[in-house]
Amino acid sequence: MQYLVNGLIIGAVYAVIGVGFTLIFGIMQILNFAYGELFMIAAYLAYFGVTVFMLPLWLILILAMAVMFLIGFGIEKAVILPVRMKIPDWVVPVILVTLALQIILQNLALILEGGNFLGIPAYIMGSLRVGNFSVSYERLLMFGICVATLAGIWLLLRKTKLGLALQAVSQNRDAAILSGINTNTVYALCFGLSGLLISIPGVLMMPHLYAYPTVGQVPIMKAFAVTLFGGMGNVAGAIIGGFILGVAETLAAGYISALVKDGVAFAVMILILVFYPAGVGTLLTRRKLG
Amino acid sequence: MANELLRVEELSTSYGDLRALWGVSLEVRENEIVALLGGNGAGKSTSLRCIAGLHPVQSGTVLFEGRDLRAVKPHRRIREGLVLIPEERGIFPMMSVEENLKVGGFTIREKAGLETALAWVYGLFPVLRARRWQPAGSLSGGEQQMLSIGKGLVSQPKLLMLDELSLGLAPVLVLKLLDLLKEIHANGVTLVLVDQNVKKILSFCHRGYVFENGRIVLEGKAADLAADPRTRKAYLGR
Amino acid sequence: MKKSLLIGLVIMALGLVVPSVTDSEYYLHLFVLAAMFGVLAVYWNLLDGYLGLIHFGYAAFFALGAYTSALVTTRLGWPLLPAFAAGGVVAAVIGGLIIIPCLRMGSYATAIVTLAFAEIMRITATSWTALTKGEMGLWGIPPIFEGAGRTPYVYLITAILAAAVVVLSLIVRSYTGLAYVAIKDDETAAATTGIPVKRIKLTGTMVSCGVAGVVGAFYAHYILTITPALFGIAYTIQIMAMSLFGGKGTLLGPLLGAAVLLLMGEGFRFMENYRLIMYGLVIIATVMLFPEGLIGVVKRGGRLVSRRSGS
Ligand SMILES: Nc1ncnc2c1ncn2[C@@H]1O[C@H](COP(=O)(O)OP(=O)(O)O)[C@@H](O)[C@H]1O
Ligand SMILES: [Mg+2]
Repeated sequence: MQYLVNGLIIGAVYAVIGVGFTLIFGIMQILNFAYGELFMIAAYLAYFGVTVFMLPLWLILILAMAVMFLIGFGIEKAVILPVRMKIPDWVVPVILVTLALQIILQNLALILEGGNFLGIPAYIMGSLRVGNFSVSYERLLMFGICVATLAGIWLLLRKTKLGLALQAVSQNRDAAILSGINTNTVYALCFGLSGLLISIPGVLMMPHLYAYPTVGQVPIMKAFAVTLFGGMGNVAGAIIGGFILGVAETLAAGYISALVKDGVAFAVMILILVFYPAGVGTLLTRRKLG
Repeated sequence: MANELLRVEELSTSYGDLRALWGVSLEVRENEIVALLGGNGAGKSTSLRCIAGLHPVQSGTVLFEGRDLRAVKPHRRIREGLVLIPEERGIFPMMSVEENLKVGGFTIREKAGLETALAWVYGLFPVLRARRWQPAGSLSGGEQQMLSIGKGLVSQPKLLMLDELSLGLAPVLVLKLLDLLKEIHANGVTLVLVDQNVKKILSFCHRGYVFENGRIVLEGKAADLAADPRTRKAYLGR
Repeated sequence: MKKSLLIGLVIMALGLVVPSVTDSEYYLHLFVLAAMFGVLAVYWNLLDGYLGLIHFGYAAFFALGAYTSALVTTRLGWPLLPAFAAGGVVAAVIGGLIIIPCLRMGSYATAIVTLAFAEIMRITATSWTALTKGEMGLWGIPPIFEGAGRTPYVYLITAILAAAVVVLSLIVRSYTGLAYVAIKDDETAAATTGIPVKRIKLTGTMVSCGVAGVVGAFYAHYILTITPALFGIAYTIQIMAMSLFGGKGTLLGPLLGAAVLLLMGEGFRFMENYRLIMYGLVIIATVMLFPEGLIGVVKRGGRLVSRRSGS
């Protein structure tokens, strides 16, 4: 029971990580290898927010979301857009660019901050006890914020004009242009949105991790797993995949050993893939985004 | 004589190293129905894609209502009243019929305007209203073609260009679609049609152009083209 | 056929010349690494550039070869030659087993399944301490050439590289190679014309992973200590970048990419920490200026020269 609760909480975080990653694949058909590095930047933002500026969590979160949205948006406009404009068949070149960005951002962090492991204490102390199991308030808050974020992204995709445009571009790019949708704006917004989404776990997980140049390796592995599990580019699938990965990992760590945690999760994913290669997302919904 | 709506002058382009168009010139006047004819790979679709901005123009000009389209970004052309319904059915298979139509009306700002436009399209294609919540991908071929035409109409274009209207449709359905197009034309929409079915299409259009190997080899009144043996020859290729 | 042999001879000649030009241990070491990554980039590209399989776990098979060979020599006392072969065979067999479920999936699913398997292998190598000594890694691996400096390694890796390139160019020019081109062009069409797409992908993957295993075995007996980090995505990404940077779907592009990126990484060493940033920026600049990869630049340059000399 305790494991299940912990699993669901971490699952919500994985779901947010997965959605931000799968969104870019769903709309642009590219894998963004610099995604983990966006997480890393958010982690540093949280670290400085707490230690240098001594801001409250809510302010850090809002600032990080805004900054990371701009960074994502800026990356698309500054380095991806020029490649797309120049090369008609841009998918592979853009993937290579994200690989290069990963290297650049990691080393920028190394130069600016050194390779130190920077940590912060918990944002909130105390925990909720019911019977013989307990959940820290901080984890509860993390869960709440992540679930709210997922609900928000769902509404955005399903109920707004921007959501309609995102779906249109993901399903038929030419037809979207012919309908008057500016795909360049959609792509940049999509990167911005992805940055915004990853900033949330980046900030919230800080007390459980450290900020260091290669911390992005952790979330990008989760993002890969969740995305594959849910079906590439499938947002609903990524949400389910996030929760299942969270629970599977926690159960594996609890009943077997912490060391095999990652391995078991991957093994489960592979088994499911063998049976549902398109990802479990397709069992739920044919539409990809929302 | 009616005003000129579209003028294409000496349009050339290529795919990679392969030249696809060699100086295509044509014009469409307001309220006309113009046919583009020619065998497979003659360059009809490429011309339409260049006009709509989906494929880059290498040389030549495209004027719409006298305005050089080079200054109008592809996604802005629909606002000018220029709409292309592409060969590969420009619909979004995983969206519902209604959402597809809403994307078609993406450029309409006011809600009321969108509602009116949707109502007009549903009036033309009652079957779409009946299927409005169904995913577009689950419609039959004919219904999908109606949806892509309907989607193109929501923005109430001045010029509607239709690539391969009857591709993969039963003859009865084609007749029905042509009837609908007549009605759409009566509503003041100028039409450019590409179709393999020369006879049927020429009996429907005012004028036509015949493409061969990326060039226009024949043009004239529909009746003259229908009578000209060279039309047939261009179709069959050599 | 002639061209393949010529390429092989040029590579061999290069390997023979390098040690006589420099006796700096450092430059010889760089050459060995460049040749090694060259083989890996060329054979990763066999999967991505020719067979449409995006393999994100490639480094794991390199590592698997390294571990296999290191273990059979240190634990079982096998001589080197069978140990190298064992490294190649184990990598080929496991590489083949893993790709089987992928053949039913799309290319991106393949990417992630291979990534996941690589991760599982890394975790296994980390946690199966009785066999692998875990994070500490294996050491005391017997060297190929006892106390002989780097020169013989240069010769050996050059021979491996030349053989690997010649073999691949022969494959690409054979009937199987025609099937590769067909698959690369249009997989469904290839399947309908009776090309056994799945079998060709499977054997291609086994060859590719097997070569990675042999190179891994070489690496283990060259560096003499290996750790589970070898299985990680970082190495695969490096190999991928070399391959894509050099020119996807070409024979020599990845080789060129490996050499240039490796030397560039070292060349920027004077910039210390800024080195890798420079490296990333050069990749981005190259993508923007020469989308077909470095090999595209070379070819274009070659055409220019021949046109000029022709007029
Ligand atoms: N996507 C493409 N890539 C390369 N060549 C193309 C492409 N589309 C069309 N072509 C070539 O351009 C020429 C014109 O084709 P198209 O405009 O589609 O002709 P049509 O619509 O009259 O059948 C043909 O030679 C065709 O092979
Ligand atoms: Mg056509």
